[in-house]
Amino acid sequence: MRLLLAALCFIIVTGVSSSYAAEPLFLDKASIEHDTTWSGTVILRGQNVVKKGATLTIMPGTVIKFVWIDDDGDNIGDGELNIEGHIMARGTKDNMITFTSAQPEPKMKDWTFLMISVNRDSVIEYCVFEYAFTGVQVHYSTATIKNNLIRHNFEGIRFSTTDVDIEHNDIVDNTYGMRYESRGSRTSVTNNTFRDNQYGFFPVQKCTSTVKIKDNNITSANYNVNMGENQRDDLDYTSNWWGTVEPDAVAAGMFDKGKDETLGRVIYEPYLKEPVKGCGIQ
Amino acid sequence: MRFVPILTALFLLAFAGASFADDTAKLVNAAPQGIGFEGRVVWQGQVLSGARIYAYKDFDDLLKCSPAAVSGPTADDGTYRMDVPAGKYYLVVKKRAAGADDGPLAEGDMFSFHGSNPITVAQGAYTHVGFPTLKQPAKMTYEDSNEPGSGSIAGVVTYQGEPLAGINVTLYLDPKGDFKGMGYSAAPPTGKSGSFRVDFLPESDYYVIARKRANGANAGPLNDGDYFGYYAWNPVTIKAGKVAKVAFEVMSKAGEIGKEDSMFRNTGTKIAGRILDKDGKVVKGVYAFAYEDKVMGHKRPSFISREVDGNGNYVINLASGGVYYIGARSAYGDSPGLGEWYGRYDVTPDHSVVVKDGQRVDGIDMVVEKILP
Repeated sequence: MRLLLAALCFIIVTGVSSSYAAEPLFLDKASIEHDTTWSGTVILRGQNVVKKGATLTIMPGTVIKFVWIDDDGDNIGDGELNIEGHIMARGTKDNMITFTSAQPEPKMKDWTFLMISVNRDSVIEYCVFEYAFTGVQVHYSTATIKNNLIRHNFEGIRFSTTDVDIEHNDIVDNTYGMRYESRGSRTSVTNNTFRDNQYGFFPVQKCTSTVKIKDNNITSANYNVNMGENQRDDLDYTSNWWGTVEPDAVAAGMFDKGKDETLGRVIYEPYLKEPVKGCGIQ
Repeated sequence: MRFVPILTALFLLAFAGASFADDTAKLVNAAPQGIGFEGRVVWQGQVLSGARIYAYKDFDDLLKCSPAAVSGPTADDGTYRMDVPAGKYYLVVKKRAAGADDGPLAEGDMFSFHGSNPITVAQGAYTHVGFPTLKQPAKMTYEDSNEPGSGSIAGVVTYQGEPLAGINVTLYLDPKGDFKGMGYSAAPPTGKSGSFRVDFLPESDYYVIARKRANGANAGPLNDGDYFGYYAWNPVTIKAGKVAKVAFEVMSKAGEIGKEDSMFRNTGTKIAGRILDKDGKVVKGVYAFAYEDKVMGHKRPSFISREVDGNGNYVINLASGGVYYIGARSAYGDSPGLGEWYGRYDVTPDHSVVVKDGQRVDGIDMVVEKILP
C-alpha cells in the first residue's frame, strides 16, 4: 500500500480526507485542494501544499513526520508543509500536535518548515516543532501562534510582513529563536520563554519597532539580540527580562551599534528586573 | 593574486595563432551569426574607440583573463558588435596599453565592468549593451590602524573626479552571487565628502561594489541616472592591523548606455498570461516574475516582464527553456511589503511552469491580492 502511494508523486488530494485509521497516512508532494482533517500519524515526503480555499484541520495528538530527502543537495531535508489556504492546528496542553523528523536519530534541519503564506487567521496552538530548518515561517499573513514548544531547529520562528500574535511559547535550543524582517509588520511577541538558543532574536534588515516585543524571558547562549548587517534603525526591546539585573551583562547580550557602528541600537532600557511570571506554555 | 598571466598566455596561445587580428572579433566557441551584443562605449560622455569587449562565461574566467569571446576594437563612434552563442556572460571593457590580448590592467588603462552582469544574450538578436568606462586608478595603499586583530577599508567615492554623496559601498566575499543581496558588510551611505569606511573586517579578499539608485531602492535593475562602481582592483585584500585606502571612481548609467534592458529583449522563449485581482479587474503597475528557485518572494527573480498592459497581459522573455516558478508583484527587490500586490501561478502545486527552448507558453494567468491591506 505504501509503495503504491509513494509512487504517486504530486498526488492531488481532491476530497475531504482523514487519517483516523491506525495506518499512517503517507503523502508525497501532495496538493491538498479541499478541506482535510488529519489525526493519528501523517508521514510527509517532499513539498506538500494546502491550496488556497482549503482548510487543513489537525486533531490533538497528531504526529506529522517528515521523511528525509535532499534532492537539491543543500543538506536541509526537503520535507515541508506550505499553507496557502488555511490551517487549524489546535492541540491541547496534554495532547499536543507534533511536527518532527521521521529519522530514527533526528537532528536539526531534517525537514524544511511549516510555512504559512498569504492567508488569514491560521491557528497554531499546543504544537511541538522540532528538528526543522525553521519550525514555523509566516509571511504576508495573519495568524495566532500560541502555547507551542519550538525546539532543536535552526530557526524557531521566522516571519516577514505579518500580523501575528506570538505568545506563551517555549522557544528553546534553536540556533536562532526568532528571525524576522518587520516591513511594517504589526506582529506581537509577548509572554514567551526564549531559552538556550544560540541567538534569541535576529532582526535581519530594515526592521522597525512596529513589531511589539514585550514581557518575554530571554536568555541565550550567545547574543540575546543579534542585529543583521543591514539593520540600521534602532529597535525597541524594552520591558523584557534578560536573565540578569546587571546593566553591563544585559548590554553584553546585544549585538548592535555598541559592537558595530554601522548598526542601529537595541533599546532595551527600561528592562525588567525579574522574570515575567506565567511566561511560556500555559 | 588571482590574475594568472602565464596561464592566460598559454590559454590564448592555444587559440587562433596566439593573438587576435586587430579588426576582427574572436570567438572561442563558434556562434551562430546574428546573436550577440552590440552597443557603444563612452568615456566621460565622449565616444571611446579602440576598446574591446571581453565576454566571460563565469567569474572565474574573468579573473583568469580567459574570455569566451572578444570583440574587435570599438569603431570611431565607439560602437561595437560581437557574435556569441546564446547564454549569460560577464561583460568587461578593456583598452590596455599592453595590447589587445586579455590580461591584467595597469594604471591608466580604460576599464568597465557592466553593472547588470551577468547579461543574457537574446536568441536571434543582438542585445544592446552600452558601457561608460573609467581610467584604471592607482593601486590601493595600506596604512597602519589601531586594530591589530582586524582590517579596514576606507576611501572616497568620486564621479568624474568629484566626491559623490549617497553611495552605498558593499563588500562581498564570493563573486559567484553576482554581487546581489546584502554582501558581507557595507558602509553607511557616503556624505558630501564621498568618504566611506568599514572596520573590523576579518582578513580575506573582498569584492568592493558601489551603487546609488536614484529612486532610493536597495535592489532592482539599474536605471538611467543611477551610479555603479566595480572597484577596478578587485578583489581587495584586507590585512589585520591595516587600512586599505582606495580611490573609487563610479560610473553613471546614462542614456547612451542603452535604453533597452536585455531582460526585455525578444528571446523567442516566453511565458505569457494575464494578471487580475480577485474581482477580475486589471491591476496597474504589477509585473510577472520568473524564478529559477522554488522559494519565491525573498530572492531576486531571474526574469521579469514589463508592467502589465491595459488588459492585464504580460510576457516574460526567458534566456532558455526550463522549469520556472512564476509569481507577480508590484515591486522589485526585497520581500513584499504591506499593501503590495502579490500573487503566484496557482495551477501547479509548486507554481512551476515548464517551457522548452523557443516555445511560448500562454495562459499562465494569476490573481493578485494586497498583502495585509
